[in-house]
Amino acid sequence: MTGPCPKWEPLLLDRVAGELDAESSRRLDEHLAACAACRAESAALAETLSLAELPPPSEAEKAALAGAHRSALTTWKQSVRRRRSFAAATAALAVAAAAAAFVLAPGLARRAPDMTAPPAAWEVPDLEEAWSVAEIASPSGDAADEAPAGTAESSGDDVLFAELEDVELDSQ
Amino acid sequence: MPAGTAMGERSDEPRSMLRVLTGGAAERERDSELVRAFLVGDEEAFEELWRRHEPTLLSVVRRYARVPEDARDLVQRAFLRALSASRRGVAARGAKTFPFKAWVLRIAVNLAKNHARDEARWRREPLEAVAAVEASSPSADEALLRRERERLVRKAVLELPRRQREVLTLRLDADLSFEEVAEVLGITRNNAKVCFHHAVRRLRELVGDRASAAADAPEGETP
Repeated sequence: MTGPCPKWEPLLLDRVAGELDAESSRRLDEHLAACAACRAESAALAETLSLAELPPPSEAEKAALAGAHRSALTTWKQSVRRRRSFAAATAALAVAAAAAAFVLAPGLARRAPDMTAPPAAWEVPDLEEAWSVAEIASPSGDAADEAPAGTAESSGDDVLFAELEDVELDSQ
Repeated sequence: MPAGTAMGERSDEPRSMLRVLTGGAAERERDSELVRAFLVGDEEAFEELWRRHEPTLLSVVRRYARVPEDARDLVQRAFLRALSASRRGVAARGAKTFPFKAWVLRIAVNLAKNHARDEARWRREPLEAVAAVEASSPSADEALLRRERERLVRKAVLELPRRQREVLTLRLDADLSFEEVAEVLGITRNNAKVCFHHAVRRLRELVGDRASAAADAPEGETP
């Protein structure tokens, strides 16, 4: 079977793309009336797209979407609450740190060594006293109480919230 | 076929008469208004935004979804991500207008593609398996033949090169104009059109090859 005329093939493709203007469409129709190969190709292209097209959404698909906007809205609200809680905690921490700095700064300033005074004379430390107050490090210390890495629980919501914070768009 | 109300109603015109849309600044402005209203707590704005875009989103993702629940999940995730991007745009730059529709469709395309890849479902039946049985046909044999050809072509769509597949499905499934396709994918209109031509030509060749192979295969060996 021969293919379509190379000259007319772009117009055949434009037609199935819905891009053919009226004048081009008229000229193409005139050609199709006289060219069986292009007529066959035109029909084949249209059928190809018809076969590729999906059928309308099924009842099952429609049912699955019912109420989807409500659960999406709920997820959004939860993420907003979570974000606000985090922001509030961060702000409280910043205020506490500022307050601590405000209270402690004068004391720290007072304890600053007087660099102009002569250094105190060095004394031999009491080794007996030093041993009595020292603690022996335990090999089964507090670290054993820590959860091993990777065992933290992660809910589906956590994953979704993480996704919400992970948006990257290449263009605006 | 679903229609995004933001895009205008989809007609029952034959494929050769795909409508041509020019997009619309008014639609974009309306989307932006709704997003801004929602971000300050207007839940009705959320519902309207959802109504405007859900049909188009569904039409974009359903080709890649194996079951309806997958499609729902993809629509929700795309919508939430686009809202999150909008929130950041408003918070960081005080943006008043943004291309919400282009964002949400672009996110949906990427999510759907990743979903299909992650689930390794490329070679499994997508949603048309659910709905194809609804098709009517003069005879059972013709219906069977038609269904098999549909299966082959839709499978071939998923095997197209990425850009061709994206352009074709946005045009075919979501009924976007080439201007809109170009905006969603961040390419030129001409590039979108060329990709569409390549995709159709490729499908046409694949269909021809596979149809011939299927016709030549002995009975019972149809893939």
